[in-house]
Amino acid sequence: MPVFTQPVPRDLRAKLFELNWAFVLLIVLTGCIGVLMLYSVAGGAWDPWAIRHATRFAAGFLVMLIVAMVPPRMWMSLAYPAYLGALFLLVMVELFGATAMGAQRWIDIGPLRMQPSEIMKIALVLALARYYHDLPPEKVSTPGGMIVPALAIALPVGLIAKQPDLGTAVLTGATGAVMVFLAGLSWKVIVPGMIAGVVGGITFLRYGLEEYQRARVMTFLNPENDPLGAGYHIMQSKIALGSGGLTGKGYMQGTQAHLNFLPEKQTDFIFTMLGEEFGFIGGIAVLALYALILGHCLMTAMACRSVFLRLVTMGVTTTFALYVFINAAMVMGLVPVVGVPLPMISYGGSVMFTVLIGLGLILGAHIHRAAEPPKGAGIFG
Amino acid sequence: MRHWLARLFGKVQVRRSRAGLEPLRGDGSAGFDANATIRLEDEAGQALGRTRLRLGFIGVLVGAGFLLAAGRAVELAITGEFAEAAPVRVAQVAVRRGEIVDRNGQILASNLDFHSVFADPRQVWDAAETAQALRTVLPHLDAEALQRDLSSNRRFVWIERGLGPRERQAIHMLGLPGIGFRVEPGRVYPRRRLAAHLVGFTDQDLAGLAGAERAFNDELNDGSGRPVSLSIHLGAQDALETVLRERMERYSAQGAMAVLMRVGTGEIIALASLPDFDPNRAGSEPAENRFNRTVQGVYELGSVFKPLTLAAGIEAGLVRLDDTFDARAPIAIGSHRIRDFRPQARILTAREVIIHSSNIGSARMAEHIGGEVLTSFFGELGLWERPPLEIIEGQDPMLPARWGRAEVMTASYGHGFNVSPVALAAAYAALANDGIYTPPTLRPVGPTDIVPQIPVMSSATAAQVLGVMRAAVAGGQADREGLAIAGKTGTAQRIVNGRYQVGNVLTSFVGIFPFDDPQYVLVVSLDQPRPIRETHGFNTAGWNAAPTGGDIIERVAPVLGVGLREADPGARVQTVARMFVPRTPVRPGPEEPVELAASGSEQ
Repeated sequence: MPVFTQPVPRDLRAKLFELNWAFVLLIVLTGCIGVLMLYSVAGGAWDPWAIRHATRFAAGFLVMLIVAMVPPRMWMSLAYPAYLGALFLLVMVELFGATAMGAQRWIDIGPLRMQPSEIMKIALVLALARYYHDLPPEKVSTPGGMIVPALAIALPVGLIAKQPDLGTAVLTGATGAVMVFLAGLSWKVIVPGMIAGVVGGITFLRYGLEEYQRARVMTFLNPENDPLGAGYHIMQSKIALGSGGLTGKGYMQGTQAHLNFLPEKQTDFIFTMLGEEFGFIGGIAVLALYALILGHCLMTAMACRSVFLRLVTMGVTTTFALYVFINAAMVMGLVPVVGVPLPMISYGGSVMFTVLIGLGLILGAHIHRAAEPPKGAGIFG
Repeated sequence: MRHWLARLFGKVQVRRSRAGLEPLRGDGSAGFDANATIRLEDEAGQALGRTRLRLGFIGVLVGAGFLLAAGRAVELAITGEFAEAAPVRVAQVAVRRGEIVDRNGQILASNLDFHSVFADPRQVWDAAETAQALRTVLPHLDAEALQRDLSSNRRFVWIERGLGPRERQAIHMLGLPGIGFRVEPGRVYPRRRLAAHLVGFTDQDLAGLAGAERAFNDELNDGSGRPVSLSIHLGAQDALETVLRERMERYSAQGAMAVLMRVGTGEIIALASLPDFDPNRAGSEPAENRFNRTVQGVYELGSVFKPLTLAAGIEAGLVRLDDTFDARAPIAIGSHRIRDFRPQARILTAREVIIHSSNIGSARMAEHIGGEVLTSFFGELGLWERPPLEIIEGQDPMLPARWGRAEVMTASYGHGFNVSPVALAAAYAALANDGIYTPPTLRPVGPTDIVPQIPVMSSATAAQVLGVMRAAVAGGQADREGLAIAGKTGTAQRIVNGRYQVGNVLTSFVGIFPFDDPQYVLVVSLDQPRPIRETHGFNTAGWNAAPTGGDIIERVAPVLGVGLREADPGARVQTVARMFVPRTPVRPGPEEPVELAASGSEQ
């Protein structure tokens, strides 16, 4: 128990010194792979994806470092307002949101078009961490201690699912659940809860899904049934991955992707592209890269002294791990196509910023791992 | 605040440690309750330990998920589970359409590659120059239309389809930009007009439109490339068509048709409808030539039905060959009068009714039999249905709305209802097959194949009627030495504007040979044959359809291996003897005690 070992760095120099540079290097490496792949997707051109991806990554990287430098106290005080704000935005989307590709996900604020569900991912993590930070551990499994987090998770998840964006809803819900688990929820609650969850999930699959979502799930179970329709993505993706073989066809040589057999290749299916061009070795290498990042995240969580920072780290880590796992599993036909990008490699601004802000929080947690913010400081404390 | 928390935590700590739920840290706080602050530290450490356990749990889960994904990647990459799968959106591989062959494997329809020229007008530099250059190779193209096409805004226009390799090369050598080629499989019919109606034809995309091409389209396109064999015999088909064509021209008939069917199996051995067409350019042939009279046409076929009426009577036990029918005077029924073409004006036996082809006698016989028996008998012979031949374009028969007395009487001699010649052939094939009906088919029937057999009449009935039919032919225009043809003629007057036309006739002949061991049935019809000098000014069936049928049988019998009375040594001796003896009017005697009419007078 390193009670007295580490002081909390206060000034910028000390913080930069404490920055986990190996972790930063891994993140930059991942971003570069994203640029590389998007350059290939466009057929060897910076336009339209690679250049924007690089710009966004650079901007996000700066934001990440700034976030890392901010003292945890500030995040704590921002947690509840951020959560309520994100919840408000989700409601606004529900009421006035722009519809894109059949789903209401964006909200237009002047020139800015944003996805409140992305904000909610971070806000929920912060809010839950803050809540458990303030809650005495033995109250975690009491009804009073359970009802608040349950509502805090269920409300945004329900709103996101209603957009409908099943992938993000599952992601957000799972992140919340993992945080509750890490907060120390008793197994006596978890086990019956999981049983109820399974039963409820099956019921939901039966009656609660939109027709296209049900079709996705059913097609996932047997994609060959509908090779030109909903099963097309998975079939083509698997063909591309299989055709990559051990070492791949070579950079910018992937026929499946370049001949447009592969849909959404710059976003959700970029892993397929990677697998086709760099083979299974390339795919494994990228997975290993993510695993290293996640390993750093876990180490950071272990090292954190305060409940808040530990839970924030684990919340972000969970989201990140689920992104990677669901995306990789999706393109390889292990889970249904739910529209989850590969963090920092897939093209897409919203998610990139969310992920980099989250990683910034983890970097910050690492810097301030010895800090112990006071408990029960009030909503804006 | 801190103090309160510390106390609270301390108590909890003690309880938990007693329960032994968590291992304690080294300083052993369990029994140490003197300093609340230290207890707080211990409690925090305890919570941290628990959380780390759970962190590790999550870490293991994440790791397992990644291993699962990695494993899947290995599976996909190394086993190449899907590596061999073709992309879904590849162009469909052109399936070679199967050939059509006759029962002996002679090719009737096959495939050839044709070259088609198209243009992408946007890539054509100079429409006028290109059009002019193209016309040096394809002079038949319309210059203006070509230039208009080449300067249009479309991305694709056909210039010409179905070229040979030589023309393709010539156009290629012109070096015109925007001009491209496609190889398209084309259907060719090397026998041209032979069996054209049976073989049918396809459209440009090789989809069957008529005949066997249409009937067996799925089988031809099943991708196996296996040929589809038909039941027809090309030699017999050629002989039948040659005779039919020659006879049609001789009598200046509007059309002619013939069906040759094998007894017992129902196989169509030859089938012709004239005028015919060349399936290689079916599209440019007049529609009436593409019309298959034997299947698509339904006709009043006339007196050829009389033997079937007799068979119905015998089978029902109501008529015997020696029963008599009063044919002295025409029968008035309604506004219509049933009269004989060449009145015997006497009381005729049933046999004589057939041989002299008496309409009056036949009508009286039908009245005696009753409409119920007659129509159901005809129905059992498949005459009231579309013949179950594979050819899809077959027509339903046309039947009277109700079977009244007049309709039954006229039906007995083949008037008042229309059926297709194929249906008539199938009905007579039943008579020839000891009374067992077999549906007609275009596919060859092997020795082990099972064919549907529907008993319609007793073998005794069939034999008696065959005997009478032999008598009707014997010595007549259709009779051929050594072939023992049994048959019946029919001359049906055409109805135009509701009136039967005297000059406008459809003459038919039904032949079964050899009559004592029936193997084949032939139906021949001539549409509007003209009276000529050779026929002494007659246009009745006995003068045109009957000799046509006789000639056809004479030609096809050796092709089909029907020997000249192989089974009859007597006839054979006579035949051989005739080869050495100067020709004398000796006729082979009848093999069975069938009364031979001195001369078959037919109608």
